[in-house]
Amino acid sequence: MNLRHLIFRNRFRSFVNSSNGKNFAQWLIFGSFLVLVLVMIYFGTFSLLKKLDTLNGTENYGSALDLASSVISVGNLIKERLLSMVILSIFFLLMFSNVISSISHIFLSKDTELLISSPISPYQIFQIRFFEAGFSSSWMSFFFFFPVLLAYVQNYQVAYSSLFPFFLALIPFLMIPASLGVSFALITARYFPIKRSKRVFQFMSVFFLTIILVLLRVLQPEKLFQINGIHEIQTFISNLQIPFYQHLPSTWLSKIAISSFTNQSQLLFEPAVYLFGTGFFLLFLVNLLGKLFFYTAWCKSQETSSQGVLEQDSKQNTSSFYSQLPLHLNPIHKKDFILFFRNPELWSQIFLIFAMVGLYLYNINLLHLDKLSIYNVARFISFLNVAFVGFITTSISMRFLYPSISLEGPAFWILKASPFSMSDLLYKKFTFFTPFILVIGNAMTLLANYILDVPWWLFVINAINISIVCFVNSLLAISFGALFPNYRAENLNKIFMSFGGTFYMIASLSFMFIFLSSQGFPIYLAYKHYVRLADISTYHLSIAALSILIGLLSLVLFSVVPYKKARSALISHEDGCI
Amino acid sequence: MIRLDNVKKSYGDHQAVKGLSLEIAPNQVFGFLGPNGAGKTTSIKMLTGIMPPSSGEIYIDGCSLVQNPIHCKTITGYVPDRPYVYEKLKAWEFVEFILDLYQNNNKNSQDLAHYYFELFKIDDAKYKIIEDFSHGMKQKLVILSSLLHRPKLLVIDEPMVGLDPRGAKTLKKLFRDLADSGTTIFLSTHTMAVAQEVCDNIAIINKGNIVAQGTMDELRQGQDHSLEQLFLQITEEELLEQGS
Repeated sequence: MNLRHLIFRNRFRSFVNSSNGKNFAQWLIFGSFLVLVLVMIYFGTFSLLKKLDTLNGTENYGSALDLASSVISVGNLIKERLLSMVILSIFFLLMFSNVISSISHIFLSKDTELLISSPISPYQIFQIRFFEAGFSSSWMSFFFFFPVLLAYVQNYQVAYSSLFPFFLALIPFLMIPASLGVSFALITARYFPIKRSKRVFQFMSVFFLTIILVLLRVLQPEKLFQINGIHEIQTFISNLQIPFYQHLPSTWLSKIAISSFTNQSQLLFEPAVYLFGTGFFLLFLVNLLGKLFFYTAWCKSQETSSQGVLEQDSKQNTSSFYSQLPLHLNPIHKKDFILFFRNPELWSQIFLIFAMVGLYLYNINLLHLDKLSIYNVARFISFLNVAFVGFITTSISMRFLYPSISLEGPAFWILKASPFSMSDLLYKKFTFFTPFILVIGNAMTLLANYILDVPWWLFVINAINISIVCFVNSLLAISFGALFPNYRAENLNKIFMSFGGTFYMIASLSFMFIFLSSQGFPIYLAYKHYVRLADISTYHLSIAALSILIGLLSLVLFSVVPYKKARSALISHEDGCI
Repeated sequence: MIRLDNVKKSYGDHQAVKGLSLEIAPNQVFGFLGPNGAGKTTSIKMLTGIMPPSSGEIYIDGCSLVQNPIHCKTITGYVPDRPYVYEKLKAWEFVEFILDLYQNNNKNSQDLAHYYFELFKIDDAKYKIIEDFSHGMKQKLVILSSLLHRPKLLVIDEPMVGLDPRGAKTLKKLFRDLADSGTTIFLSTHTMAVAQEVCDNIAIINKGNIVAQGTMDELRQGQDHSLEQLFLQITEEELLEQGS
């Protein structure tokens, strides 16, 4: 058996063995959730494309706008640009993730040392690691991109076989960011401390993702569906044209996709030549670099991970940040505070959160409900807003609170062996991030209410609701994080993109659905009684009371029960690494 | 100082520790030996309150570990076989964190920490990020951190792994000094020479059961055997008994 097969077989066996602990029910829930997400992506894309088709104009040219739309096929043009932009975003994300992934797989992987000491040429090890790095950083992007492609196939009403050229072209397309990322990692490792470089790239990838989100939103694509004139179409298309460079691999791939979808096979040749040519040239180049540099870069990375950095630090800083923190803070908070700010992978997520918050408020601001004179809709939206903000705070809790127990890592034994109760640990972890989440949730809700100009009583109800939602979601995040810990995770994503993370999302969304919908009818009755001065029947009152009771029960079910289970799990936890 | 009454630990169908009963007097170094997979680390994890026993009772200084874990942990220090710590803290920050956890962050304890940093020759690394430490340096840091609250009981699993000869010598002397000054040391090791050199009493565990216990002289039973020979003889007899 050759070396590649041997190593990949070991990886596969490790994956299978690590999956054995999960029972069928866990797989079923996880799988169902994943399918649901894929279906949502598919239908979301499909309905968007269908809506864009309406911009292609009609055959009856009722206006100059219809005529223009028909002539330039605005909808088709935007569909093409949209696909191109998605592929462009994936391309740049792959560039960053390939750098990070190759640093992890090539230089920081624990078994590389074992392989280097075995009678295998370093070049062979490099080739295997190159493939692993490329695969691990690419598969997920295209897994979630697949329903988008299917939606395009459906929209263009072509056979599924039209995807064949796309998948063929995907091979050189993926080779490009993988080759560039690995080459960059090789050169970086040759000259800089590798662990620090990894942190810098982790930060840059989150920052880049934030910029993409903001850029896509400020294009205001919804304006297309409220077109007031040809100049607006021109502005939008010219905005979309900015990142549409002819000589980017993402452009070539999207050209191949669109040519296949529109049955224009004569247009496939040129981008395919560019893509295959560039892909194989870069593959040759990275192999050459690997042959020349891999071993020396790996040796250098081993030196810098122990000695070099240590010497630099000692010259720069001989103080303890811990003792500078306020005395009244408890040790867990002090430790978590330092660890949070010393790990860019953690604190860089803040950019993403601010972008999400900003974009959400921007969306609310763009609603212009006042112009439409639908005051009651504003009230309804402000109530729904709690659910949307709740969803955002769930994602924040997912990134900060859910991993906090797992982030103790193999050092968890320190807390288990010290005179410190596990209830206390859960409480301290809960209180570390929850105030931050409460502030974000309340700020978003109150600002949205202000923008929507809702009456004071709804202001109060929404503030109470979002506080409860944030509180319970945070508690759920801590509890599920303790129930499904991963002390061995190499990065943050592996902690929350897991069974436990999925269950947390399901639990959190279920809670918000039950808790908020249980209030709909009672609030409506109260509004009817106090504002419209209408009489309420006993029957309606009892339904409202039952509804409130269900809401209160959901509070207990989704806060106390998981918290108690989490505490027991931490006490009896028997992970091998601690 | 330590009393274990019929302590058992099971993982599903597998019984890792089968009714362990031990009584360890204070102020001694107690060696806990056994082949790989004998149940040493599981016993230690139960003794330090990291994992609860499936059944049985553990008493530390007369106090039940199951009923009063916080008090028991306050008087116990623990050094695991692998020195996992918070890699992104500086060594001194880690020490301050441990002192705070044991509610013992005062001048005396800090002075003691400085003393141990010097004793283990890692004084230069006090303000460096632990991530960049070698295995031995981390091991020394964990050992010194476990001593700062002046524990009555020190439980230590494979203490010599990763230590240089000077560090190992310092540690052996420290064990003796600590035992003489009132600390009970529960030491698990595979290094027979270390056990023979520093332990007052020894127990050998095999397949979850104590198969021999006593002082070196008691274990020898008048024969002139080294601890290594005794260990091999006892564990082999066990294997043969099970085979027959």
